[in-house]
Amino acid sequence: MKIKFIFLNLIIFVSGCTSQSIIISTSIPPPLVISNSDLRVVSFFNDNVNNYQFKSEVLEKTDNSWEINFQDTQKNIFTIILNSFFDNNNISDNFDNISDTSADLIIGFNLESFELLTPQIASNDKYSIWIKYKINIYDQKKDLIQNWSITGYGEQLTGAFKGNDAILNAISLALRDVGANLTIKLESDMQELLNLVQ
Amino acid sequence: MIVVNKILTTGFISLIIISGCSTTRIDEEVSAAYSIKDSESIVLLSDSYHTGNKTENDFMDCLNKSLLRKQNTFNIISTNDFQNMFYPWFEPSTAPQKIDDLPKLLNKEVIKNKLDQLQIKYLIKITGETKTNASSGALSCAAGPGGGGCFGFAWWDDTSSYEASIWDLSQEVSVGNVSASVSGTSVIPAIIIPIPILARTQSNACVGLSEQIAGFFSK
Repeated sequence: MKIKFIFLNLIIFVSGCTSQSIIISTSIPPPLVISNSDLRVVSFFNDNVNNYQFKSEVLEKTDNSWEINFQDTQKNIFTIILNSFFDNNNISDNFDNISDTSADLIIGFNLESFELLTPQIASNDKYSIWIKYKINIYDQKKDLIQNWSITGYGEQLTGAFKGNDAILNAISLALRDVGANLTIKLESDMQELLNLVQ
Repeated sequence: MIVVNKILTTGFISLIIISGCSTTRIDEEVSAAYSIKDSESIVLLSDSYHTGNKTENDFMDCLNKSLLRKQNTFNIISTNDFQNMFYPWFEPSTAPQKIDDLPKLLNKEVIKNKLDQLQIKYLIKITGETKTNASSGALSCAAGPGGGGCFGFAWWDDTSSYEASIWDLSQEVSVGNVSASVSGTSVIPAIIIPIPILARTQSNACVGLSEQIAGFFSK
């Protein structure tokens, strides 16, 4: 009897301070756009895009604590988009390694913020995710010619989802939204970019 | 013992009658001429959560499957496949929210060509959700080393209300609207074991709306 009581208490104690760890490996389909074969593009990604790991802050510990490993998901998503727009797109390790005149357009990606709202924090029945990127665009001489802020938002009702599926889906939707917003920005500003680099 | 059994039986029959007491309302409105051929396709797309719409993913899955079963006149391209093929133009934040938004999107040659290639003639925009209007009762469960059980009675009222707006992509007009609204009461009586008797308002609305859409195109 005593053993049962201790065991029950142990279960309650353990479940009271859980840490959820999830790995993101979502992707997006290639965007339906017209590709450009004239421009030579080189892209580079900051560390927080190459391999970002989110850990929930003190405020969010009223809930479970969250550890979200993005691996190279963000980099892959941006590469899919750039490859759809530019036939000649190459990836560089960092900005300094890109030699002058090796590209007509240099595009750098930096994750500015990632925000997570859980049902417990927001007192509702959904997970909400906001992501914001700063995208710098340089010309042949590596002079900054454009500076974009691209955001993404995803939300998922907890309803019929099991385990961590609801938060995973909210993150996937947010990343997909980032991809959609970047595609639309590139498509609408393409002519302006071409004018700036010529 | 016989008296207890009779009371229990009467109680259960009453409960089944209560759970069966749901009301369904369906509406249809035609605003322009329409027709669809065997080779042509339709697509179902829910309104965006960016605009506050809360149509559930499982309702969209149910509607796609139910419509596929209910007719063989035209093709149905699943919502997910359509969004992937046309990424990113029909995403929650980018899809046209009203019929006036269509021309801007369809002026893009890549989109127009792909729609023609897949012979997608109608886009059906779905709005609505399932809401719990009221709930009451009390149900308590307890567990101990010697066993456990529940006792009490709880009930709630759900309303599943959905609308489909049918857009003709070739003419860029709305040809009509159909809707289905189902209300019902779910109950959970518990004497040691809880027995949920659920009013399946969402699945009834799914069946109702898919019949409405199939019927709309069969006229």
